[in-house]
Amino acid sequence: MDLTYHSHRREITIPVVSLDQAAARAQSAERPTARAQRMIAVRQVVQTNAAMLSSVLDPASGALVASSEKSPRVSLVATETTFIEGATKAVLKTLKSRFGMTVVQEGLFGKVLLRNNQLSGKEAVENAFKCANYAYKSTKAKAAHPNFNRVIQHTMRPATTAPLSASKPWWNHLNDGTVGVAGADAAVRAAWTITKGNSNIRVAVLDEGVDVAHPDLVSAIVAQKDFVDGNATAQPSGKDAHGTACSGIIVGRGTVYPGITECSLVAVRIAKGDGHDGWIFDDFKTADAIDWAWKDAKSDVLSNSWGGGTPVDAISNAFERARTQGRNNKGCVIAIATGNSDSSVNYPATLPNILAVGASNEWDERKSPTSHDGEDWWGSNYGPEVQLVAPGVHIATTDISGASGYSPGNYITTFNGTSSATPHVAAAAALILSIAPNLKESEVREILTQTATRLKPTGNLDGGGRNNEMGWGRLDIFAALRRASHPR
Amino acid sequence: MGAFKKTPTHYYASGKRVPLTVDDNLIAVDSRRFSQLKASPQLLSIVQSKGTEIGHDLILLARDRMDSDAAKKLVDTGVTQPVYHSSGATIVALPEIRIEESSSKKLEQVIQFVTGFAFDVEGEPDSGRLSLRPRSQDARDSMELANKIAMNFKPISVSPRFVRITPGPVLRK
Repeated sequence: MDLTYHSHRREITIPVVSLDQAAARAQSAERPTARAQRMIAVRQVVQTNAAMLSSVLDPASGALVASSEKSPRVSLVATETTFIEGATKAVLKTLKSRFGMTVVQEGLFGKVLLRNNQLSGKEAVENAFKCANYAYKSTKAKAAHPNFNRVIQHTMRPATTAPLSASKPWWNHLNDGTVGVAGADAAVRAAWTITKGNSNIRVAVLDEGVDVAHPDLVSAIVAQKDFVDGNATAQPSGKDAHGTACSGIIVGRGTVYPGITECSLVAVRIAKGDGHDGWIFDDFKTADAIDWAWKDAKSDVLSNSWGGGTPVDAISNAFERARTQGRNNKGCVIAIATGNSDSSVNYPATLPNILAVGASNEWDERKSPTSHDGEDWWGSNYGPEVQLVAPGVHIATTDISGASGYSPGNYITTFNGTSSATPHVAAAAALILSIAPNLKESEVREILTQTATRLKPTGNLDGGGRNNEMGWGRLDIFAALRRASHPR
Repeated sequence: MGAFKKTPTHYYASGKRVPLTVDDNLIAVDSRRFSQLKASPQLLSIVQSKGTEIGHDLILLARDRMDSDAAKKLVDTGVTQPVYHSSGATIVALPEIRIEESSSKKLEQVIQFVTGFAFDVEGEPDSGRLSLRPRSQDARDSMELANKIAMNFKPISVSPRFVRITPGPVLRK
């Protein structure tokens, strides 16, 4: 039996096989060296919006599985739902009368997921295909196709010389598997079906300053201060673009490389470059900056992509005050980078009760010198302190405007490090607080860690608990928001 | 009183002793005090041209970038601050201590103790925080006193002031 649907003006026919057959086909396509690797991700590609995540793969249900000869590692598991984009109310009415399809999920930009709740199993799947084909041929919907789950079996190592994410700069928001493993992302697009955040929530980025005039950041900034030179503005000096890049990940307002949230930014300058790729911090100024961020600037979340050296009480106590006294004693959520030396976790990410954030890549691996992403010159630090990991290679974000910064222009597409992973977690915390502002910081931490996708360091899904390389797993903002929306 | 000139090799954080390794190569020169000495304009010129400014009028430079006589002369002027390397960072001590303690009585005891040393005290016991600065302007003195306070009074927090230079977070091949 074959199933047919339409995508990008092409008719696509796929043979239907059993899940076991698809798995066998995928396995036989593996290279011998990769045969040891099993299914890395059983997760649907969200071609549209990930509100569809509610339909999960259930091998025991006997779901129809389509497997393409051209892509044996990718198996499409047909669901009982149809995806439509840009359908009018009249079209939806027609689909209801002809196929019994009603809207079960709504996404952004006119995307809906339809299902006939009277049918189930094979009958429901075939009905979903018929509905999709009818909608494609007979209406002016922008897109209409069956909704698939995908089983991706990744074994390939890419050419490391290629700019891995050049054509897919948003992999951290939504990884469709073009590079890496489908679903190895922070589930940002999916999260946006719930919220893009509230501007009342403030995220402090403590860093080497922020390009406060950047067109994508200027409207997000609600407070700023320079603790290095004692200025009222947090503008960085020279080419110190790190804080601008971190901020863009969280609150970038642009349409080219949008940030994860529409929350507000508190820009705090605590460091400067030394002209030789090093950073200069003053402990007491840093401690004062932390206190200012939670106490005076009323920040809800503190994002810290910095660290190194031995601990000092002044900084540790300032963080503890933020964590316990910030947000009217509900506590600020504190995210701190673990470091990039492929060794033990840096201070202050070693502090208790904070979110120590490591870096993952497009393959859901711990970023290491030997991980698949090709950046063989650094690795994400690891140890018992790691709470979770988040995307940390090939990140597209804001750069200092103009000629300064990492590259000419307003953006960088290759930002990296646990520095880039940490703002993802800070942004996630800000989104949680946007929909659940009364949560204590400990509750936000628990939501983020307990909803993280459990992973082994090699990228395999792991149903177990935490490990020292991936912590509790890779950040899943969508899952976190769902948990925050429906607390247990 | 108060002139401890041996370079300390530890301090306390969260009540625990934190070891430090003295960096034998790097020198942190207080350029303002060095200028005031008017000892050797030539040496000052070397410092300024070969070093890196790290704030607080300090210039950090490597001995191996200057001849050994010049380096020795520089250290002998007495206007350097201790430099350590630890946990992947370079740490330069500054002549200041910050103490935090919720008990004003304990802070009063600390102030009383400090009167025996050549330090200036800033802050009131009721504020919960004190800053201490050695009149010698030498961070060795402040580190020694910080350790004494940590051992004798165990306040919530006693921190010597450090400037830390960490590897930059920008990762390039």
